[in-house]
Amino acid sequence: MARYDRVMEMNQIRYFLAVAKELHFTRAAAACNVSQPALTKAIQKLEEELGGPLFFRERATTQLTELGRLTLPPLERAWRAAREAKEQAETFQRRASSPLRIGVELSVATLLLRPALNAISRHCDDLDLSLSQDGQAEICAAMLAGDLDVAVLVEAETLNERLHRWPLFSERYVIAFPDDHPFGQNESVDVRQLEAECLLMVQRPDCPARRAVLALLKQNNVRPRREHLVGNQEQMMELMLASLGVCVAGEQMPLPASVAARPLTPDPGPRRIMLAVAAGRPLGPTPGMFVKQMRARTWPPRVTHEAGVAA
Amino acid sequence: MSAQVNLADGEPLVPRLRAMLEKRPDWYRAILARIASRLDGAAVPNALAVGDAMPDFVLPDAVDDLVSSTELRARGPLVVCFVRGGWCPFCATTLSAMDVVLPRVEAAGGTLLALTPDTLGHAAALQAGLGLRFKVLSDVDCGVALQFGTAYRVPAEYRDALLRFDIDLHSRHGDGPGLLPMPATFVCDRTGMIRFAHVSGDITERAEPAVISELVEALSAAPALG
Repeated sequence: MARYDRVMEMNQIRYFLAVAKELHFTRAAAACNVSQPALTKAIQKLEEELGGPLFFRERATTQLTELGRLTLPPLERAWRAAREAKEQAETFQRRASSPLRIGVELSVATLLLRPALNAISRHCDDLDLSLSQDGQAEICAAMLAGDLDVAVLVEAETLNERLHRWPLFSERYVIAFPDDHPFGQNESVDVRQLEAECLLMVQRPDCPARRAVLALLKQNNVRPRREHLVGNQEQMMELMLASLGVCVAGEQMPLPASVAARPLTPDPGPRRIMLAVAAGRPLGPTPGMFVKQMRARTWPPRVTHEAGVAA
Repeated sequence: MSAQVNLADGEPLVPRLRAMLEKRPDWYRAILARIASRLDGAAVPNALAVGDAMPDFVLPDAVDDLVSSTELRARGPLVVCFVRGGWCPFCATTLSAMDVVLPRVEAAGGTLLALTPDTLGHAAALQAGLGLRFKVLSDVDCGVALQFGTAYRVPAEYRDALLRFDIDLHSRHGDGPGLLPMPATFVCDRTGMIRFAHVSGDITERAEPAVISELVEALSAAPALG
């Protein structure tokens, strides 16, 4: 047995998670293979540190307190991080992998996945990968059903709380157009200038870029000359290259060489790109490494060089 | 910025760190002292020690690659240095001092790695900012530090104190579980056995870089145990 099971923090976390699962001190102690007094003592120590009771202890039932409920998810994640780190190292060493099924929300650039996928594919021999693009609701449903491991989403208030998410970066919306278009002559494009334009939009009403541009047009009482609906971003770029319109996209969307982009005024506000997994579900080693890679890396705008600036 | 921390080879690290600590405000030192006494009493004795197997790990580096400890230790002694992050001047000074002895470590066939829970490019910025010639890896959610027994939950008073210096651990850790590693240095041999361990709840108590480089040289010269 690895020695880390005796490490204090790991033990406290393990005991707390066991009680939260069993909702019973005796059963939790049995599950952890420790005496009940030892487990109770560890929980009391944790409660002292956290400044309040984690469980309501009544004769017949044990329930999590509000503090207990708040403490549970981060400690669960810490516990899982340690267990999964071990499995990842073993898988990596064998150049093996586990299935990696990624969902990317409409209007999010698949390009964002490239560095992490590149690293993973370099270190395993036979990657089992699937990549899909869909609306947020479909991606969330697929994650909760266990059909997707990880997703790259646009933050939204409606995001299902059964997904655990980490912020990656924020980007603004820009207007993209063929580089010979007069929009290129100014630093930014006033939304009212869209009245003379044909606007290219993804057909799906749940596309975040489409929703952002429609909200902006409505707020400013602007109606584009015409709207062309397309199936996906590739078609949007193709129509733009044929000078059939302009489009609004996230700033990180890769643009073909002869397409330029400018910020909009008024600015529709930034959107936050999130990485998400189903909360509480174990991640296979390859999705786990993918998540680490995505969370560790430098996203735009770059972090400025730093070295012990304070404290 | 390596000029900022200009350590001659052999100049002891710990006295420098202690002098730095003395310049910190009393209230801040009091918080650090409370944390140190809790950790030294309970956590440090339970961290991994000499004779234990070093847990294998794979973590992202600054250039979008994954680094495997197993591959590195197969080549020679591996030094793993846990640091809090680029926000911590004690850790920055330690890493710069380790960089000074890096040529000796590498000449003896050893590898040096630093692990920090900083994510979202902060680990890469630390490595670049100090001009370090060894890799600083993101130990996302302290998954590896937990296995070494060096991770602890950041008390609310410390988290809030750091916020007063505009250091938001929650955002630097990319919404992590609220853990930091104790400063720690481990050295393992090719078999993965830990041959040196230094863990402390006191942020000024660190392994001296000269001791580490000498140890790596000695390990390389001696045949591996068992």
